[in-house]
Amino acid sequence: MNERMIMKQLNEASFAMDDAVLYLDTHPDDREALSYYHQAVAMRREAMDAYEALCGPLMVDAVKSLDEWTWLTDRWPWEGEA
Amino acid sequence: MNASNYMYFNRMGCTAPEQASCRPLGAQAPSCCSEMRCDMPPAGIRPWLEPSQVQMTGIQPEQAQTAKSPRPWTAGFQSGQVQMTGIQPPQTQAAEARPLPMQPGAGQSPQMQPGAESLQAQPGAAQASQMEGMCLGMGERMCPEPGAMPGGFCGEGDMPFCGLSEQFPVGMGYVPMQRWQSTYSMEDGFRRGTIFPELDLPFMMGRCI
Repeated sequence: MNERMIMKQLNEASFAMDDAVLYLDTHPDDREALSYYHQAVAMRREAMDAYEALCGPLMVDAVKSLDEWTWLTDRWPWEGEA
Repeated sequence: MNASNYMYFNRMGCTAPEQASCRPLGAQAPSCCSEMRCDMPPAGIRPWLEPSQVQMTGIQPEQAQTAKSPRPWTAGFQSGQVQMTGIQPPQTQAAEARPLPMQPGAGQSPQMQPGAESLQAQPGAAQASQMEGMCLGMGERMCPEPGAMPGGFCGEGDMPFCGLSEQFPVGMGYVPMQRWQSTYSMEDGFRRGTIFPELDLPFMMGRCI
């Protein structure tokens, strides 16, 4: 799976999570919606991990390197695929 | 669905829609609890488009034609002209796609004669016919005639609004409470802009279709 496909899955899962959040804001006791939210969060987390393993940190708090500040040295999304 | 809608139900002392019952917040039961479920609109109001009609099949050509063409069963009741059994829409499916009864043309035609009060004897059928025409074409009125509802009272020409002001305070906007149903796949949800098929409506600039 390439960077583009991972980012697509990440965007889809993130959008689904946000839409579920909007619903849960007005239906806090809806267990089906809460289950969907957790499912979307898990898929989003999975996509984020896959993206970061391939392309480096997606968000600044995902920098794991102890040797180098990889937030600056990794490629940025607008630099195209590797 | 938004937070203000949720707050409205809470403010009115109503329970969440899933519980489908009412609990008074104060000493006096809220008005919404007297005759109806808090999460339900007034009798006769229903979603004007089912998700299946929107996403799966779309509006059929004959339905679209129905929505745009004059509707003889609402275009102005004449005394003795329209029987209660004669104002059914041409298609059951078209009736399901019927909009909310906010359009005034159905029951407040100037030609409406006193004899038409027989419609009030069968409110269910009358409301079905009055829900015609919510989906307006460009240029059509969405507001009642000036002076048609003086002082908020229901006159003979205000049948589509009768009862609504008694159940809901005027000057407020109301949105039916959303319920969790089936969702799009995440891929489709991202592409459609919503994961909820019931919210995936064919909005167009300036009007609904």
